[in-house]
Amino acid sequence: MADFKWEYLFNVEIALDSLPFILEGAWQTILIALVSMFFALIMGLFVALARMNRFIGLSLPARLFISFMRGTPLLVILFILYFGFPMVGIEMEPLTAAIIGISVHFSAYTAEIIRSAISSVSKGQWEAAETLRMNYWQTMIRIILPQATRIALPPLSSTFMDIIKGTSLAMVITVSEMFYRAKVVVGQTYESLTLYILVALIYWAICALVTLLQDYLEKKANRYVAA
Amino acid sequence: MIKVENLSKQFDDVEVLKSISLEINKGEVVSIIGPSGSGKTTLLRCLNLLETPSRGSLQINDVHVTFTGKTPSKKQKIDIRQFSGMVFQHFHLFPHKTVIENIIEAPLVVQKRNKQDLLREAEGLLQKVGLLDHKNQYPEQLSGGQKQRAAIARILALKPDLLLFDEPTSALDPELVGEVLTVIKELALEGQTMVIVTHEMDFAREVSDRVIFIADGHIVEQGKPEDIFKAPTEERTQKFLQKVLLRRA
Repeated sequence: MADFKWEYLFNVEIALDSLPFILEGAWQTILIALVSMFFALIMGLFVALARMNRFIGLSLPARLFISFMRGTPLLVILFILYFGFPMVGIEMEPLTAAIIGISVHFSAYTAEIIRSAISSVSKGQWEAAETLRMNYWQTMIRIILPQATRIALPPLSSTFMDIIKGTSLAMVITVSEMFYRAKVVVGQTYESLTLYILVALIYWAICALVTLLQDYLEKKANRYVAA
Repeated sequence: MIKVENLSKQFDDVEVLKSISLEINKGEVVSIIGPSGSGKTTLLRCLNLLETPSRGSLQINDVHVTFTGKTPSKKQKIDIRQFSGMVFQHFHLFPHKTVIENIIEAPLVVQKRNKQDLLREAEGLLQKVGLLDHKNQYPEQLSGGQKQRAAIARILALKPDLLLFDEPTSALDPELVGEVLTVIKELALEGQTMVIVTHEMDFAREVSDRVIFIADGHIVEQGKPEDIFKAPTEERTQKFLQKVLLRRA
């Protein structure tokens, strides 16, 4: 330990040199995460509504979808999309495959969150809307979803962080997001510890921003709840 | 105006309503009293199709629905509900909307009416129930009595021919009951047709044109409030009233 140097642990010079390249990848990461979260929310909403439908022709496929997506690793889904689908003539860009894979995979989780949030809104709200002559969609959009949003915000924020971290898996299908770029730099400099610590800190920073966003949204959503 | 014929309601094995027949005229105020579990609330909810009767028929104005055990169609529900409004025991105000937003919500979204007109009308309704000062507050910030008055204003915004009250004061602290009953009495004076399920015997006596006593899913006895309360003919009614009045004394 006599000749220990701090730059073995974290080589600041290398870190700073590679930072622009890594940060460009961080933008990719954020972009993939945002787009995937957007689609995961929309798909999740419809899967949740299908899952809650009385008609088994809708609820059963939704159940199967949720079960399959929660029961398979995201990595395997990405491999199927990028390396498997070309066998049947469906080829796509790595970025496209990543966004589709992540959205579809996480939509199963958002669906379950949205479903539980919707069912935790009291039945009386449905009845009141019914007697006020509002139809299903009017009630859903104007009465139920705004209240469900409040309940779903914390778990949805967690899912968003899972998505952000999940984007790192896209490196295996050659998407040049942040983690992929870190590997590239390690290949050139052999500074593995420095680079991996660097990206870990950046992932953390992005997720910390999500927490801030969550706090802000929760405050907004809770404005009608007595302190 | 309302004609109920041989209405029955079965929940699994339990027959909650047993062939109820009933007519209510325009402008009439009818109170339904009876022990808990007697079917009062179920009957009221059947009038608005919040519950689907198992058998029998229901007519409101020119809309007639016959029940055969199937869920009524969307159109039947809409047709029946166009005439009526419900006030719930637990208010069911929309918590994420202010008082005035609660009131304009349905006319705005369902009837697609002009928002400025609705806001003006809503202020009139809030004045009437004594909540104008609270129009921009959220339901959470109101007392129980205020919440119930807001809920009444909300349904009045749709100008229902028939108002249904499901134990409107049962969830309230005793000192808040009066303010809600006062609002309902005013509606009675205006000639609003109402059916009220209630445990407030004095109120039922004072406000109703007719009192219906229900037990075990049957209409046991009905008549003018002074007859029912002073000289009930059925033993079941006598026992019930005795209990209620004893408890109070």
